[in-house]
Amino acid sequence: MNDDIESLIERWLEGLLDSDQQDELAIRLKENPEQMQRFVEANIRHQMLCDVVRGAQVEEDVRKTPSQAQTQDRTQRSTARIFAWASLAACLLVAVSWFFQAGDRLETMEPFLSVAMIQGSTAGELKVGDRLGTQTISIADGLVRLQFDDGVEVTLQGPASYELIAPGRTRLHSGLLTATVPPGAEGFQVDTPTAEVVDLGTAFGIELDAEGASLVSVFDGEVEVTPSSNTTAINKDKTRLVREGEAVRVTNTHELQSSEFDTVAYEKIWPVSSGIAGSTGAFRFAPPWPRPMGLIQSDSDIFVLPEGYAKTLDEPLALNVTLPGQCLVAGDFTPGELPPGTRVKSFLLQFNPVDQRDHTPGPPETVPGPKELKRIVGDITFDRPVLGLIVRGDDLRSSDLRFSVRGGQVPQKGRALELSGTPRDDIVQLSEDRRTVKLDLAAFGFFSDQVRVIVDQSLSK
Amino acid sequence: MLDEDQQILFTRLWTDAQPTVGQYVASLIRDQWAVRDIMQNTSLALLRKFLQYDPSLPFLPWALGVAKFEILGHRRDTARDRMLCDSEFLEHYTQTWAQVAPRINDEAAALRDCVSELQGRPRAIIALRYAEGQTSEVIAAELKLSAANVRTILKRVRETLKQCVEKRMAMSEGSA
Repeated sequence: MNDDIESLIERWLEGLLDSDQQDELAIRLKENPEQMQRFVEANIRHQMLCDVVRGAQVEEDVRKTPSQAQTQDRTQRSTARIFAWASLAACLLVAVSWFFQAGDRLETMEPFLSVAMIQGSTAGELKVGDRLGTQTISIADGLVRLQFDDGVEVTLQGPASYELIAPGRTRLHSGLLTATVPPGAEGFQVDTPTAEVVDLGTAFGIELDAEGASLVSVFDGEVEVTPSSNTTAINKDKTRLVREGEAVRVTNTHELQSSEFDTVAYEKIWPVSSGIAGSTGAFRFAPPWPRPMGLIQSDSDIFVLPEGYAKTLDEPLALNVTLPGQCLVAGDFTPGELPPGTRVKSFLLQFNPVDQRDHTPGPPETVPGPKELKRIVGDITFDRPVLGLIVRGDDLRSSDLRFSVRGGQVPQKGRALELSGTPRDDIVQLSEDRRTVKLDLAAFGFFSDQVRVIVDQSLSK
Repeated sequence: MLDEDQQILFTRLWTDAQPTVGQYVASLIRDQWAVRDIMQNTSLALLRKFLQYDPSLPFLPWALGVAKFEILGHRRDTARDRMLCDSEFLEHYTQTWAQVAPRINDEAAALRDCVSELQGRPRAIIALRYAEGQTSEVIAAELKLSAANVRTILKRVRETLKQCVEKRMAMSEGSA
């Protein structure tokens, strides 16, 4: 019923209702004040968006292209359009056409992404930090992570050839990639020789095989896959919505087939696509999209969980370690707070040895048996500066729901670092360049160790 | 004739109410030129009738009521005539607008900030939809997408904007 009225309202706003449907809508709204309220709200919001979007564009036009406003054909179009609404806003400004602006934005030659990380030997002439615009990049081997200015992240695994057509529009000619698309960047598109893949807010991977087929796997959210035809016209009838945990294959004859969902091909790419530049010691990596942490136990590995996508803080975030240096005891903490508006990504590093004890009733043992204490050492390096670490139990808990997208699955007991300087305690260190976190952790029984690493994700503007 | 104080009062009230009344008229009349005519007539009618206005009552419902009569007198917009001919519907619609608009209009500044943060394809799509007034079908053809896809993207972008506006409103209330 609700979907029904929402869809009716949406179609009314688009002017798509015929007379009978308008009559039906009017009757329903008259009889139901709650629905009338929603209808009016939708209309007000629609009109506000019209005003705001037009106003924003006029401001941008005036700022960016005053000389182009003289162009005759644009001025003609814009004058009529702007005049009509300006009488409402009581605001007259010279502007160029919306229509061309929207098109221009898709065909811009200005850079619209940065190279965030290169791992492996041959990435052509690419360097980390390079700004890229419309061009094709080819890599012989290794991995390259690209950060688009709207927040989309693409990681390529060589050998691969990837064409950057415009913001939000790209083409994979060969190789393998993963893409994560944050809210606000929906519609990101990757064309392949046999298909068009349009993101609807998600994380997905595309693998082109030697036969020219495209395998599209969806790790989170959903994407729309449409086989492209040989005549370049797109056959929309064959479009398929592919959801999380599903995969489709579009063959070299442009047939769309369901396929088995298998992430093995992407495992090598995961650390890099998460923004991890390297590691020593025993780290194991979870995929860079939201996943339940579960109760993962291992005596020999530190588990790295990227906690969802990059996000902008909406309230301050308390950190326990904000400066380079070593923390042996809690007195070494350098507490601080990140202000709202900071764009960050969070990683949870967890050492959780297999619990060898019998779970007999009563309070848990707090002293390890002779063979129970497990110690592990390792370094993990990120491609962006680490803004700080969270290691205190209370602060870990209070930040859980802010980062674990499907929150609440993180083991809760005994998870803080033990920092009192004894041999069975933990040591954590942030390097001078803020890229590397060094861990020397000890744990036993039901005690685990967790460190939440907050990494800078500010976007190029 | 209005004396100077009345003229000042009218100018102040109408300057505040005009954007909301403009949105109300535009929501019912598709032709932007007709909207302009109706707004001019509404403005003149309000000025002429201002002596009848009771200053102890809110101005917006009164202004919307006058705009409603101007719309009924105009009726050039054939696409939405069915709804406009239904006077009972129009009355409910106008009253609800007067109740709801003041609350939502407070969000305009936050919405402006949130829209300015959009980039890439979502920005192009909202530009075509809300500034150009294009339908999803036309936008889909323009950007070589399916119309369903455009609708989904629009829905998600509106949801993103809504969350952004809510956050900003909460932050500004917190700092106020």
